Amino acid sequence: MANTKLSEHTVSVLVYNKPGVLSKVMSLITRRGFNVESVSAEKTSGDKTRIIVAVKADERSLEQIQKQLYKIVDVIKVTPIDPRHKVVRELAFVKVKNASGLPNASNMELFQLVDVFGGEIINATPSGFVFQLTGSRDKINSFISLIPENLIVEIARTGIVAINKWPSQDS
Amino acid sequence: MPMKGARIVVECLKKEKVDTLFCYPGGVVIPIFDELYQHGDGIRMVQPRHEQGGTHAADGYARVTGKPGVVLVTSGPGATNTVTGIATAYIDSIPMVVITGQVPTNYVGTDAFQEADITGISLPVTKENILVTDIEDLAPSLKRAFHIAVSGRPGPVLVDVPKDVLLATTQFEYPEEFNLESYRPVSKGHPKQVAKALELMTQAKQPLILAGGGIQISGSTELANTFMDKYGIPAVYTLMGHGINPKNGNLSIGNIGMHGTVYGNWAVQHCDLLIALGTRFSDRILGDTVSFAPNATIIHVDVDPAEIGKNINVDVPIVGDLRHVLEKWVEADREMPNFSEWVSMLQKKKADNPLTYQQGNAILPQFVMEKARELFPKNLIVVTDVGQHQMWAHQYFATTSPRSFVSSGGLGTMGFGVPAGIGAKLGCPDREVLVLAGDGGFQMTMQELVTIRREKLPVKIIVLDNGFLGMVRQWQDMFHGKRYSGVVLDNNPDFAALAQVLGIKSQRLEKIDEVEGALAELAQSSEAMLLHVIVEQEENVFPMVAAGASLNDTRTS
Repeated sequence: MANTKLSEHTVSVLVYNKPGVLSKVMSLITRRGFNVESVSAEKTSGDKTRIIVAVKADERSLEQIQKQLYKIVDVIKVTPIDPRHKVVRELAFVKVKNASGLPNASNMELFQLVDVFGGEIINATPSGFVFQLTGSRDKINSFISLIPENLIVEIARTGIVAINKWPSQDS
Repeated sequence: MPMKGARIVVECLKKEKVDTLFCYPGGVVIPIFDELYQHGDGIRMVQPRHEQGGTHAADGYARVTGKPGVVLVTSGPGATNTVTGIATAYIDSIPMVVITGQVPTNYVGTDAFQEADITGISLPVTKENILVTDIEDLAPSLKRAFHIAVSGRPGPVLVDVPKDVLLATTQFEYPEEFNLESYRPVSKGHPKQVAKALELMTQAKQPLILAGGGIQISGSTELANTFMDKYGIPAVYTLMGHGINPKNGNLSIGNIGMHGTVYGNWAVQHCDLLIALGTRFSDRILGDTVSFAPNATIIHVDVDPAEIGKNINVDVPIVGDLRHVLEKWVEADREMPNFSEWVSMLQKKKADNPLTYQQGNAILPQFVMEKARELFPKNLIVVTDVGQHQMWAHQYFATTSPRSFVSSGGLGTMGFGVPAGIGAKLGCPDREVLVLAGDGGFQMTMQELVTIRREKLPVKIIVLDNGFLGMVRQWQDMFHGKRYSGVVLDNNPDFAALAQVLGIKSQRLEKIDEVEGALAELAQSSEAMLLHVIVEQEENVFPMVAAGASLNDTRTS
């Protein structure tokens, strides 16, 4: 069925940590015609792995993805992440050149930016720096957009991890 | 006693009571063939001429018996040749276990001789696939494969076994049970939904059952017949849904879909309650989704939750085993309105719009089918290939028992017919098996005539030769200005002569007055026989609903 309103949804998939299970999950999502925005996976306990996938989909397709995921034998549980009630974090490393002596840029400005965004400088050499940022995708995107493009050498991002919060006491 | 992996494979097959193994040897599976040679008693090894043929044969075997079809092939090309057969089985929910040999584990990933990543390749077309890397996992993996293939919504499972695993030894122990937290197919329909659906039936005026393949897969045909007779609800059926046969014959209306009957499609468009049983609402059934069954509340029962709401919105979804749901409905013993007026309306529609054809000088496929139906025993198994003849078979060969109409519905695999016929005959040796094929599909797997001869299987084959890839030609005729591009088969060999050379009795027919006699001989022959029938070249299949059009626009010419 034609996709109508596309928006980003996050799904948390608990699987048995078997060889090939990540490729089974990813291949299913892509072959059913969904765009993967972000993916992260790590062993969580014993023989289980949690995969967090963000996809662009409409509500109806989202339901279909969940049902299809359940058909993979090693998928134990599929939990949609509630957008109004979630915690989302991503970690990024941004490698930048030393700005001193370059026009329209200064290291001080870079450091202030890192400070404002609550980041850290985890590597500093005369050639340049590596900044570490954590936060939502939006926060990391805007941090990157504020650094002069000609200073950026390399960016590495983890993709998001997300979890539903405990229900609040008054609801 | 410690056993080699290869022997363990054979012992697992015995534990699963596998009586027929469709197998083709090759380098890495020599150890398994060696064990079959010594310890394979009770397992009939059927060797096709090509692994695709073997896989379709296993599929045909599974379709008529309900037991999993089992295939054993070697690595690389042996494994990749099974893919079309696996995909065919997957989309039609057919249980199958395919065991492939793999290069030794220390060679995996090195592009070794006859290495192919078959678990990667088969991923989208298997219900589950497993690469066994440790001898200790071998027996549990095979147990897992057989369990998953037949349970819930059935499907093919592939087990890839590297050669060193076949040569390693361990204590053989076959797990009694398979238990996995993440694999729990739903069995019972939700009682509230089951009751709600029944309530809607009591309020309906023009209810209609849409019978899909899930009815025979779940072994519910008898129950479905009882359900229909008990409440007087009429039914239409899909290509996979052949076999319903209520005592009150008036309740069985006809088939629906792209080449459905006028009255079948009309029934769907005019019912007020559609009870869809074990169908996935494929595009060949729905046509235009918006105008499909416009007045109906839709109840959808399926064992696979992912089928509910996938292609069409439904009002009352019921996830569960159809057998359980039908049992509940029958047991409930509810008072129902009298639907006989609605049934009469449908019967009148049927009488006014019969399937017709104009038999002229050239033989028409429809005529051949009508005659064959008269001359073959009633409990015949019909196996089709894919194309025009398949749709005519769908129209003219309504079968009255489950697992008797064998056809590649979802994938539409040309070349399916002859090898699937082999499997059907091996699965039901006491029943007549008639393969219907077109000249196109027949030539895709005709080497399997050799297998028929070798296994001495009295399979009956009719090749309807119109010198075209008929269904594509029909679309070109109707929608592409008769530009017959790539569909002309004007150099077909004499298939009767070919069959003779391969040791199979045959006859070539060109004249209408030869048809009846030849069909009678075909039906009575105690050995395999092939009829090569030259038919009208440009006959089109009607009724027809153009792809994506509404069932309201069912064309009859």
